[in-house]
Amino acid sequence: MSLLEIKNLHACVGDKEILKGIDLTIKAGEVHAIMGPNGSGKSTLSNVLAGHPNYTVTQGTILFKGKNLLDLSPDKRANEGVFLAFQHPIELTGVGTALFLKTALNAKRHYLNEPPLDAVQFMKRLKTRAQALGITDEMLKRPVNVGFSGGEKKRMETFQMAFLEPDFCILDEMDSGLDIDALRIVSDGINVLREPHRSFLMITHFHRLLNYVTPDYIHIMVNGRIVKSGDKTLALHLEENGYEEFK
Amino acid sequence: MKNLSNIYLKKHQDTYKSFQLNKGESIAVYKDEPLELFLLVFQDNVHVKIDLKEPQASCQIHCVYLMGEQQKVQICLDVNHEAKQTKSVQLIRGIATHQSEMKFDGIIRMPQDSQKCIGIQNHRAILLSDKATVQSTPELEIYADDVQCTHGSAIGPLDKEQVFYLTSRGIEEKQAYYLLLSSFLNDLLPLEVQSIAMACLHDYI
Ligand SMILES: Nc1ncnc2c1ncn2[C@@H]1O[C@H](COP(=O)(O)OP(=O)(O)OP(=O)(O)O)[C@@H](O)[C@H]1O
Ligand SMILES: [Mg+2]
Repeated sequence: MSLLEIKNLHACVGDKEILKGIDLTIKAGEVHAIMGPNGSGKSTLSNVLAGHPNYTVTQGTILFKGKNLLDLSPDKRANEGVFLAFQHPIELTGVGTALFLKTALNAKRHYLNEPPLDAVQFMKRLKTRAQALGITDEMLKRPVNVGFSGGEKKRMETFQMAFLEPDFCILDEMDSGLDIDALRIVSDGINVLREPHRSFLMITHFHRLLNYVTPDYIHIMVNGRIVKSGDKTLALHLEENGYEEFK
Repeated sequence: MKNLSNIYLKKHQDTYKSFQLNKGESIAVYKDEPLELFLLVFQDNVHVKIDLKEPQASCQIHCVYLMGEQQKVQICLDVNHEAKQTKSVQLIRGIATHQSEMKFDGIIRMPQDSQKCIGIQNHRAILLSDKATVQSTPELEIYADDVQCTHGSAIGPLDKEQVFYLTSRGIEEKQAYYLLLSSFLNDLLPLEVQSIAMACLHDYI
């Protein structure tokens, strides 16, 4: 069964149509990449999948694990297993990172009828996942993302993903703003999570990320539509020729 | 919500204790005993007048208010820098919902010979409904020329992007509100009053 099935998806911001008929099917265990020019609607698609209230779906369907995703509130989507690592993660003034992660994890466990983690189990899980992604204790003590550099915020997003163990990970330009070492750390963090039941949708502008995390499919999005899909060689083709031929 | 507003006073690093201020009376502050006041305001008006009596006298007023329904509440903080080289800090955080109306007046008086005084006032409020209003009026009566006086206020709705960020991580909207609002108040709320403030917050979300 496919994990995610998007059919003829149209979405607007206000009365401006941005997604103009997206079809995309992702099976469990697959890694898909979306590339496309600025403003083509890549982040809009990820926000629509996560349930951002600014976007209105006007046509089409999204099935996630066979359920109608559009019927679910953002928190229920997350607890069903959708995770969006944001292109521009925001800062949550005053909200402690550990408290935030504990609340999120226990919300998911509650949703799945599992008992909450106790303090010791929680700290253990926090520490091991943080270490793997180079998140220091000092970063965990700060309020969520507050005062983090661009690259640190991206690492924090990947860390949250590793911590919450979603089934479907949307990574919106996880590689932009990362230095070479951080790109390797984050890519390793993603690769470790690759499992037969977990799928990825990676949005990127650069084929560099795709050398570290090899996608099964690459899609090109232009002006709210997927205009071409192919295997990983498509990224190299784009690197040489740009998007002109697809516009 | 039937909670009454309350004034708390902290002396010599002790904990905050409930404090009765008679109508029309002002609090005199001297240099060897800095004043630390905490105001927890619910549904009745609060009027506090403070006189900084001698050089080096200082006061710190923290104020948190929570209001809802049709409550109309007025807070007036009136600080008089009677002597030179005195310092006052007023930090106010509030949450207003439903059709409630808050009027805040923060008065800082620095008469002509109160040189080298410092007065700081900062007021931030979150409106949880379109119909709630908070009106913040700083009144600076400053006649001395060598003083520092700053005031700022920021009043607006809760940031919807922050709410979305939290819900996108699996946290229910209500709880997201609670997390954001409690951390908004937390740095001002003393431990002693945290539970009544949080209970009230729960009722309003
Ligand atoms: N909230 C919004 N209000 C108004 N316009 C919006 C909003 N969100 C997106 N848009 C518009 O929708 C279009 C697609 O934006 P989107 O962010 O999805 O592009 P993108 O493909 O992610 O671009 P980039 O590569 O620069 O990140 C743009 O023209 C953008 O201005
Ligand atoms: Mg984008």
